[in-house]
Amino acid sequence: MKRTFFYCLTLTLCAPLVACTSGADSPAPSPSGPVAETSAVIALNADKALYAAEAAYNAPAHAYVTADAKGLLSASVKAQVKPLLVDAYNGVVVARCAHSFVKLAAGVVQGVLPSGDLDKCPATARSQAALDNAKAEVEGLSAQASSLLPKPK
Amino acid sequence: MDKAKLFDMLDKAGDFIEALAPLAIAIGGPTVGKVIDVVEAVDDVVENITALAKEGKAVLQSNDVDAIDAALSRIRHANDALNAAIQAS
Repeated sequence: MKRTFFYCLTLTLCAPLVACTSGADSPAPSPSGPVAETSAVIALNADKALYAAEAAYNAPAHAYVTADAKGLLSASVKAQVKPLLVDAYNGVVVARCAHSFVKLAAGVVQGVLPSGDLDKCPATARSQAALDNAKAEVEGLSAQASSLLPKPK
Repeated sequence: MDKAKLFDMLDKAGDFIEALAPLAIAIGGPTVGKVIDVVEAVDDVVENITALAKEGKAVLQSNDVDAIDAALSRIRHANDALNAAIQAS
């Protein structure tokens, strides 16, 4: 488990990375060498964006649930924050969809949603741009939610 | 950043996540600070892998794909649980 997080494709086992691009509109992969390496970097960037979206949601969502369990949230605050968090979670779901499609387009099958879940993904959530937009939306909504929640003592 | 330093960061990120798992199970979601620490650690790692890749220095290893997938999966499941709790509140 240690030595974790180094990314790769089975096709590029132990191959040095020599190229770096981003975005789903990169040149189409060919069977060998630098193209597969480019795919690995695309997958890394997609993972990075999804991590950011998941983390942005997690902080206020956990703060909300914890405060609510302790009875620290007024009805007014709950009425303001809950819709923001619901929208933020929906953004996370879109980010997960886009993340999966970006990785599939790059030829990476690990870490993608099950095919049944992929079928439910909107057609607009299938690119790096969609992933970046969803991430930005989640971050914005989460920041709003955080600003309304009581600060931890 | 050299490779030894990068491996050290990877180890620390892995330790964070391993320590986090039982806590997440116990309270239904990771503590905020810990999760941010983990994500920032992973984020740093990705940044540095990308930087190394640009320099042609990184060597990819196939058996680590599962580990990064597992980390994402843990955060995903924690957020799914939080969403369920929020919907029910």
